[in-house]
Formats: sequence, structure tokens, C-alpha cells
Amino acid sequence: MIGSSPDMDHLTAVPQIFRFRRRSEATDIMRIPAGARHIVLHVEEGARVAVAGNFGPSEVEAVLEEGAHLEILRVARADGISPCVSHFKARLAAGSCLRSFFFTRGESGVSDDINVVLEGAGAGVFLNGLHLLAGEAKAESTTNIEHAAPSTTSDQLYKCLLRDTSYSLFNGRILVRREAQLTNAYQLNKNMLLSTQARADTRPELEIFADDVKCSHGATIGHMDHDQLFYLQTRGIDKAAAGEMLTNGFVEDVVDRISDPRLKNEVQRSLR
Amino acid sequence: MLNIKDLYASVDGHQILKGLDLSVKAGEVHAIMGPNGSGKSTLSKIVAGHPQYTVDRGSIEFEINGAMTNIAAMEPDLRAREGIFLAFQYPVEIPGVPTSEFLRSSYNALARHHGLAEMDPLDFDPFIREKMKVLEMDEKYIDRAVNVDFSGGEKKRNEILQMAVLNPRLAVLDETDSGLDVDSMKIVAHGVNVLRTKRNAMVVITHYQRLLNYIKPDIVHVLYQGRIIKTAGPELALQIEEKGYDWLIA
Repeated sequence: MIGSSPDMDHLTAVPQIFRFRRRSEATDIMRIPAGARHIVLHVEEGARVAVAGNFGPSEVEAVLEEGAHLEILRVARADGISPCVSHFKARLAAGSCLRSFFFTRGESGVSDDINVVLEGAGAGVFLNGLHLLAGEAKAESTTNIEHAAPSTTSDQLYKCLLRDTSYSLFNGRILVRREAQLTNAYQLNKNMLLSTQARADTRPELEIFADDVKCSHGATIGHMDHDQLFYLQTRGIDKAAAGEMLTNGFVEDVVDRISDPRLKNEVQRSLR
Repeated sequence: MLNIKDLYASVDGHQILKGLDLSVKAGEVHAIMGPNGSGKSTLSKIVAGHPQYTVDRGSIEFEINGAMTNIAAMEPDLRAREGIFLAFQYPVEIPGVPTSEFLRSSYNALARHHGLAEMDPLDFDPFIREKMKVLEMDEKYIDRAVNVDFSGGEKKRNEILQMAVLNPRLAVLDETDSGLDVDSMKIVAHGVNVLRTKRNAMVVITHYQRLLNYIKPDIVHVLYQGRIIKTAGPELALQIEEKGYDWLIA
């Protein structure tokens, strides 16, 4: 890994480029410097890397060469006055794999915009998101996945736990180009409302131009599940503890999809 | 230990139970049979305290600390801590909650209530694995989320595993045989029979007689249109197997 400009200027958005050498395997998690505005992660052929950052308003670009693996964790606290806006773009060559986990908690605004292009055959992207919102927080997640090559996979799970008067909007667009036969594309957005005033909207959009594909999307918006609560209560667990168990379970279900144990640990620690 | 008198109960404004009487003593196994839609599952949910089911009339008394107590308004979790257990016909999936953690929380909730020592994960692990052996359950299920990616048969075994962990005084088994092949049913029945003592009682709700070949009841009731219309010994189940329900209903 080579950092191109160690004394970067936070105010100008000159990209800071990190390059992960061919077939290398980074033993440590690469940390994106706090306050970084524009980052480029270039993962060369066959390299494997895990990246984490508490980056706030920012633009991150990832380029994955053939067979490269990148797992990226973004933890954001949305507590500022202005909304935390971040853009993430990725291009995936054949056989490469991108996993992401975007985690936000807080009481102000957050907006994530994710664009992924699967350019090479057999590339796969696994996008996961978790927003824990309270107060008047507003979260908007936009994902845009383009399947431009055959046998590519995308799998998205976005979850949102909403308290008070918070609001979440999920826009999920999947585009399957004509040449992207044998595509597998899945998208699931789940929202759990913990107050009567919390709200959520979900807008899936599928555009499919290939004929031999598997594509599905689903969304749920609802309060805590009564059947699950009852089940736990019939096992002696009181209602408050059962509710806490269910919200923890709702969160854990998506955290479980983080593949790198160090990154998973980091998220679990920040949840405590 | 359980005494239900003239019970009328409804769900979503529909009257399901219409004057049901049932009395169960310690050491007894009762079977409740009946055609679909007769109110069997409603009875199980009412006893366990499902919030969507309302008691309109009558009483449900359960023995607590030696005294018969009307539990109709009692929260389901308190009923469970006092010794009532419901094995669900359709066990509920709880994503993200590991089975081991769920079982231990459940065990500890009862232990706390009865002033017994709680178990930490190190104590609980051998305790639960021992019980899983009786039910011939693969140990991998303990690390999975509750009932998620369990086969139909494994879900039913998991219900009986929970029963073994909580050691209830009154267990209501709601169609535990549905969806089970004969081998699984034998294992589940064995798990239930191991838990049968003079101190506890069981109410086995079933549509078919076959489960009763393995869990032998003392008393068999037929539930129809929200009431018990016939009560007899185990021979009644065999008659139903042979002749169906029509001769009882006519």
C-alpha cells in the first residue's frame, strides 16, 4: 500500500490514492484517515484488503482488478448540523469481489450514494447497510448497481431501526444490461419502526434487459413482530427484554454478513 | 392443576371457544382431538396468553403456589415462569438471535423467578448439549438463529428442547406431530416421554391418532365447534382413527 500524499489538504478534494499491489494480502486493516475527502482505493489483480473508516462527508472510489477482494466498512455518526453526505463508487473487473458495510447511527441527517458497476464476468458485490436512527434523523440511501457482464452477482441487505420521528428512504436501482446474462441480483430493505411517528419509504427500481437472469427485491416496513414477541414471552422472557432481544437480533442479522472478523468485531464493539 | 370452566374466547371478533370445560391434574396426559377449525389451536393460545385472543366469559385457573389462580389476565411471560409451556404448531423464526443465547435467557428468566442460580454460558453449554442428545439434534443448530434455517422437523425438536430446558408443570403440545415423518415423530415422542413425571401434566393437541401411539394419553377429548363434546379413555382415539369424527358430530 502506498499513500500518495501524506500531507493532504482537507479542503481541496485532491484524490488520495491507495494502491494495493498485485496478489498482496494486507494483514492489517487499512484505515481511511479521518477528514479525508476524496479517496481512491486501487486493488490490483488478486489482491485482498479490508478497509475501515469513520469517514464523514466524502467521496470514495474503488477500482478492483481481476480477482481482487475488497471489504470496506464505513462507520458514521450523524450528529452534526449538516447532513453527512458520502459518495461511494466502485468498478469491478472479472472475478473480483466487493463487500461493503455502511453503518450509521445518530440523530441528524445522512445521505449515502453508492454506485457499483460489475464490468467483468463473475464479479460479485455484497452491499450491506445498517442505520440506527433517532430524534429527527433523516437517512437516505441510494444504491445503483449496474450488471454489465455475464454471471455477475449483486446482493444487498439494508436495514434500518427507527426511533422517535426519524425517517429513512431507500432507493435501490438495479440495471441488468443485455450482455449480462446469468445475472443474480437480490435486494432486501427492512425497516423496523420503534415509535408510532417514525417513517420509512422504499423505492426499488429494476431495469432488466437480459432474459436469463435471477432478480428479486423485497422490502418490509413495520413495527415489532407480535408473533416473535409472543414466542419469546411464552419462554418466560418479559416483554421489555423480549423487545430488546428482537431489536438486537434485527441488527445482528445484517452485522453477521460482514465477512472479515476484525471488521465485524469493530461494528459489534461500537454497537455496545 | 389446570381448570377451565365455561370458557368463551374469540379472536378478531370471531367467537371460537363456546363454553369449553377442561380439568387437568398433575401426572395426567390429556389428548385433545378434533376436526380442523374446531378451536384446538385457539385453546392452546388462550392457555399460553396470546394477546390477540380474548376471554369473553368463563375462567382459566392454574395452580400457583398451591392455590388455584385465575390466569386469564396474566402476561404470557409470567404464565411461562409459573410453569406453563406451549409447544407451537408453527415455531416462530427469530433472525439474529442465536438459539443458545435464547435458550439460556429463557432458562435464566425462570431461574430468577424461582430464586434459583442463573447459568453463565460455560455452565449452560454442557447442560443444553445433554438435552440435545436425547432429541438426537445436531449440535450445529445451537449456533444458528432461533428456528432460522431449521427444517420442519428440527423446528419441532427445538420446541421439545425448549420444553426440556424449562421443565414446565403444564405443557401444551399444539400439533407437534404435523409435518413430522415417523422417525422424527418417534424421537420427539421419546423426548416428551422422558419429561413425563407424576408432578407435571401434558395436553397433547392433535388432529390424528398416530402421535398417541407414542405419547400415550390417559384421557382423550374431542373438541368440536368450540366445546368438548366427548371425553373417554385412550380407546376413543383408536375409534376416531377407524371411524373419523362424523359419528361423534351427528
